[in-house]
Amino acid sequence: MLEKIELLTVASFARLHIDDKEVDGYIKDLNKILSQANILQELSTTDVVPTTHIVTKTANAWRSDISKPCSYDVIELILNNAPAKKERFYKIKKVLK
Amino acid sequence: MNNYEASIGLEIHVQINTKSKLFCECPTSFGEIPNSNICVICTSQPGVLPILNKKAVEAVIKTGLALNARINKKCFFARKQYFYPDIPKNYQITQFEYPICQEGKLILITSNIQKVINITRIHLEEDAGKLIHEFGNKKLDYSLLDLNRAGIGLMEIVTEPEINSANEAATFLNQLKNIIEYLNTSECNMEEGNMRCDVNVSLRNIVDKKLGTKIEIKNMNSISGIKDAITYEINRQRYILESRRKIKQETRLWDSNRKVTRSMRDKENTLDYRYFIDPNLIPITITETLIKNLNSEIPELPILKKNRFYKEYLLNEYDINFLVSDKNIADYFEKTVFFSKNKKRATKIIANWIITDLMTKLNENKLSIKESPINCENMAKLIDLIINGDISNKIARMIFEDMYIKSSDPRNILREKKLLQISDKKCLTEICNKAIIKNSKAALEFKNGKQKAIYAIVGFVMKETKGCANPKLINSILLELLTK
Repeated sequence: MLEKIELLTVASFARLHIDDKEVDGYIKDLNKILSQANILQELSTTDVVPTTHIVTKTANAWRSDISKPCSYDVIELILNNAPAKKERFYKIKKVLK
Repeated sequence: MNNYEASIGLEIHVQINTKSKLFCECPTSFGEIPNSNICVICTSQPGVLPILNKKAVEAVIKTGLALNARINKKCFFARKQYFYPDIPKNYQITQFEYPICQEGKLILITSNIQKVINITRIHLEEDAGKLIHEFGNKKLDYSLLDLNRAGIGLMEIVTEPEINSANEAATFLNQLKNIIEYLNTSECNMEEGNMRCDVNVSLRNIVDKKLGTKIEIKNMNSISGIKDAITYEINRQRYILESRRKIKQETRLWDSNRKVTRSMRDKENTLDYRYFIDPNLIPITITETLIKNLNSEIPELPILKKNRFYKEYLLNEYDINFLVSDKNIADYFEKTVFFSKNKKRATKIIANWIITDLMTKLNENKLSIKESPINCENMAKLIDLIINGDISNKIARMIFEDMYIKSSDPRNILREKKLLQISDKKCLTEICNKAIIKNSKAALEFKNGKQKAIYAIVGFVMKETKGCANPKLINSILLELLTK
């Protein structure tokens, strides 16, 4: 069963703020979801290989080491899309005290 | 009270020598305008897919082979999730349970011991962007982010905690750097951040089997800094243990100005990275053929080269260490010996000329030995001229200067400048006689027992011959004439 501390940890991973008065509701809902998932535990999976990828291609998917700079326009678009800029840097909230 | 032993493990991040980033085609060049080597993939725009750079995988395999590691035939990429602005995806693509290499080793060679340091794993991952917190000395009240570095391929080399001192750690890093430079899988330029290191240090009482509580020192980027930080940390931990207190597991930062480590964050709330296999990158399959091909590209590595140099060239330890410290210097040396007509006598002289004269000159001009204006063939000719007694060391240095400027054959310079050493006894006796007459006072002093007076006469002969007289011969002629 999921408890408050786990709920708040998961919420922080998802960058969600949860008010104290919302906690009980979330716990109830999430536990319901988890108990549904629990049904799967009844099945034996010992012979099942974990599915890590939807493609089962066995050949390697890789490219040669060739550098090709991105076009100037695209770079400008990327930078202009930033929430804040300072000259050519992304400007962000101070991370070191 | 010396009953504690330090256990040190290293996590070394080495930027892989590729032209393009690990998962996109952006260039990896250093020192570019901020955010100019970026694209939709390395800035994590929604919906983009990574495409793996084959050469980065090969570099990790090669490094693993050189470190006697086992290469996993099937490996996966994993997502390591954390919130920090240097990675805009909020996860780093790395490897977790199935790294490319496992169980390697490096034989640590110090002046008094040889020991094996086991390498736990080498895995491939992407580098993060660079955060800037200050401009010059001015601390900013915001942070700046440059993503040029984000997505460049890194190999992380993790050792077992089997290193026992600051000196061993430094030796390990130097040897590892040397091997990687030989392989050319990274530039290993610590100033440019090509090689960065996290250091784990713990202390245990030697009667205990279990390791003590470990402290991690993050993001070190110089070997001397690592040495200082380990020494400081061992002393700090010993002091805590001796005063019967407990060490708290934490991450610390090295303050290179104050030469202390400072607490950064404690590990009580260890980050949960929630690793899982990246569904966007299919597993890598490494075939025997690929391993065999890469193995054949591995050059003779430093330790083997050193042993061969001892046997083949009979040089001393200092010379060998210097020559082998850089594969290109070692190659230059061997090629010069190859061109020399008198190999046996030439080896030591060639080593001396490379180590002192040539390297000094190249360093002054910030050139690598590969860019040396003097090629091996001409270098060998110069040494042969010295060995044959055609030129004195002094003349050789003059010619060397000219060779360096003009990149020409030393024999042409000799001819041009008429500098061939005079070893004709008859001719020199004539000049010596003249010198004794012109320096009669010195000659008299010498006859009266003042040995040093002969230098004035030798000096005169040298001046007369523009420095081309064979010094040994002048000496014997003068002695003969003066003691007659």
